[in-house]
Amino acid sequence: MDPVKLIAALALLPLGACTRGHEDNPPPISPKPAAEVSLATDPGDRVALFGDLHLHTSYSLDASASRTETLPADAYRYAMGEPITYLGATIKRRVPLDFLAVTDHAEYLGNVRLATQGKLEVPGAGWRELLADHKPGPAMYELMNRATAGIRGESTPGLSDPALVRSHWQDEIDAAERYNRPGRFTAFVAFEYSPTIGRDHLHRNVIFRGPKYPAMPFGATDSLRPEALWEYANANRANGIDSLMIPHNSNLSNGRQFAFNDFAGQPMTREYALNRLRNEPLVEITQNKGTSETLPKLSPDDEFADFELLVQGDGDQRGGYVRPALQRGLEIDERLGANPFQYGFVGASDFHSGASSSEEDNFPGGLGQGDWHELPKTILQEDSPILRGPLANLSASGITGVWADGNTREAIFDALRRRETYATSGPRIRVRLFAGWGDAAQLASGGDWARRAYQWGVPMGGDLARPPAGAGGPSFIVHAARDPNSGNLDRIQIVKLWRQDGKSFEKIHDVIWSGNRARDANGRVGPVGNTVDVANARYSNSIGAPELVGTWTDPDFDPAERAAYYARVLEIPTPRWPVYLAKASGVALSPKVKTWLQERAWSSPVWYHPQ
Amino acid sequence: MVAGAALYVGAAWLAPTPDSGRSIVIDEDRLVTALQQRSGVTDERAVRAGLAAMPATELAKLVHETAAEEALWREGRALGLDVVDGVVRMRVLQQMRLILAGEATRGMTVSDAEVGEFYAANRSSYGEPAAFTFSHLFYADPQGEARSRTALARLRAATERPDQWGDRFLYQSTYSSTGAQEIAAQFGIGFIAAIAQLTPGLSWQGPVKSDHGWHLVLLRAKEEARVPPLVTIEARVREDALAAKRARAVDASVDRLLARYHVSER
Repeated sequence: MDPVKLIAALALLPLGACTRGHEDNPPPISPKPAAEVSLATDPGDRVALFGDLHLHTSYSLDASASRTETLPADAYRYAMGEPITYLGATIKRRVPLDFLAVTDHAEYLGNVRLATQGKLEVPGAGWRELLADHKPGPAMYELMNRATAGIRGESTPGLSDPALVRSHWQDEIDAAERYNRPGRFTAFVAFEYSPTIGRDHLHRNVIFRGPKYPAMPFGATDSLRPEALWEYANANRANGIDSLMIPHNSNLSNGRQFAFNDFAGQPMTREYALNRLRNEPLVEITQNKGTSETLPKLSPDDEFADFELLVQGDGDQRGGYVRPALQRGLEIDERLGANPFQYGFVGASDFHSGASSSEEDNFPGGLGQGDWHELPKTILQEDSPILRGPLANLSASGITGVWADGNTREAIFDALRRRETYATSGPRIRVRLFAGWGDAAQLASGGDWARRAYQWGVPMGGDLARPPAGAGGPSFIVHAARDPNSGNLDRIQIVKLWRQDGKSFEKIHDVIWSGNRARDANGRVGPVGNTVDVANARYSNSIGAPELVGTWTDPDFDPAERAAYYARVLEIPTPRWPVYLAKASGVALSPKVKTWLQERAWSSPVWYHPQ
Repeated sequence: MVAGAALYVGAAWLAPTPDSGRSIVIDEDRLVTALQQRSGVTDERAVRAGLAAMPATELAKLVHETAAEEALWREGRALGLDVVDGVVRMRVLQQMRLILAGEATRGMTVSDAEVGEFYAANRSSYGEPAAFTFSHLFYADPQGEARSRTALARLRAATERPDQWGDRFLYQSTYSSTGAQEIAAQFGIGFIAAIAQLTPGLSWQGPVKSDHGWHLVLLRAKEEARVPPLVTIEARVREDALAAKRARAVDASVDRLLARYHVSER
């Protein structure tokens, strides 16, 4: 839209668009007419749907402390492509999402919001002043510190009130029910369980299949042990209430999220591993507060490992990153015959804004006044007291892709359960991966290739079948198509993780890439190039390819050893979000901030187990 | 901090502001600044052009809103809400609105009749865009058009399921209730314009050209842009009607506050 039309259109927006929602009078839930939704009858006709399974609104203790005012209803509206008000500005997603789970922190659910509105008294010195201070600054951080006592398992008089939590949980359910539109948009009922021990995050999102929900969410104030959350979920499942749990921000767990032992430090049993696997089929690999795939120091041969890392951590970080966790899972499987870390991948935002806004060039910030874009100097130049670096190092990431039979809660949940999912750092890249035995080359062409691929092998998230007699290594077909609104594609890689002689290994194979680049002596393909113009916040799709497809057979396969394989798809370099903010505000970017990134997608792995 | 604590004490803010006067002047520079803040457009020439092209009714509305902002700002400053620095102005305005909202809208509800009236008056905002449900067979160039015509003749002659499927397409082979915008992003504008002209049915049609090549299309359903009946979206409409009623009450409070100032345009 040209500026003149834009301005004319904006002049019609209300000045202080009101806050939405039902402050005092929850409207009744209308009975919905049964919707007719056409679902795929052949898996080859499954569709890629994109959504976010991790988003906070003002019902979260920390979001409210940083003065986010959006409600769960606003979150669904924004995801559906409607404009909402955030910190006084009107914001809108360029391309709507297909599904969303609002995952407010279960701890003190909705109560800090009430307190900041003066509707809930919190006894104790200083609370009144902190709650009434609506400015970004030290008081906000002090309020944040106090309000987040809940995630450390502490109760706070007033804020802990279980009757209020119960009523706010009902608000969350009601909002999802109002915005769920089978066939068009899926609204999941969900919450975040947020145990934080010291500074170590052991957080999980809990996503419900519906249509039945428990009376209460489960928080760190109920137990700091994630095992207790699985007990809650198992008990619910016995009552016909299914859910799955997604650990996230393992990068902030100080190596504890994927430990070899249980959370009490005892060695895992087979039953423990199976219980964990049953409840946690997925892991979040990328989000606002960093990507948790791997670190350069853990994967020195991976030249693309240094991607949107918030922290690198001291000491042994292998228990905090997904790639080494997959290796640990193979190792534990050797001992126990059960893999507790057989994770499919999702990407999510974890924004505390109520707005799932993972578009780099349309990112309004994600932490309320904590990264308010009205203060560009604070974001682009100053070191944050919490991050020990500029806020511009936070990521406008990510989303989840699922291959589902259709856009309904049940179809998407079932895709999550079978791990037919992938993560992206934000763009709607389409990725397919199939694994099987024998020649896959004939599957790379033809309009019905996906139907034939399902008949031939297993899709992402699956377990490879037993190899036929005389088979060599497993074969893979990988396909990726760019997001029509984002960068072209650089390459597709397959990351192989395997066990051999009691040790774990990883290797990255470039499978297919754009242009005429040749492999070097080590078999690697060089950089695609870079068209990013930082001063003007632009890039060009003059390099890369809109579509990549290829097949690959593992040349170093040992049928006696466990292995896992996943695809990683890289875009060409594009500007990071602070580059757009720097251009719009005229404030220069700190040299500590990266100016471009190669957005990417990670397919869920396929596993091989010796028979 | 002390002034901040007064936020929840009630009507303390109603005391008039002694030092900021009762006169608000809105000139063109002021309107340009207001528009820039609102639109995020930094190109001043474009903003002035937009302002010059603005119809009189919208201009009057903009003047009114800018004056209301100024009034809120002055009242907020009188409360000491601006003590950090000037950049919190927007936040102060928001906070003043929340205070006004709390007082003006407590216990507010909407009747069924009000919900019905709101729906009637705002039907267009509940509109759903046109959507298409179709399968397609894709034929890449070279010879995409010729191959697609040959395939169409075979499909029309055959009484059984087609045994050939065209070429691999980079996105999907089937689309279910997919919005026009998304189809345009994946296929190009020309394609969406072409399939909008087709009649839904059970036979293959085309070929239709896209940005990628040629397509035979089995258009199963075409949902025109429409407004869903109230009964299917009543909960949402009720929520919106209540929000709008609250907003009107807040605007009325702001107007009462503004009435204590003299606003002139120059």
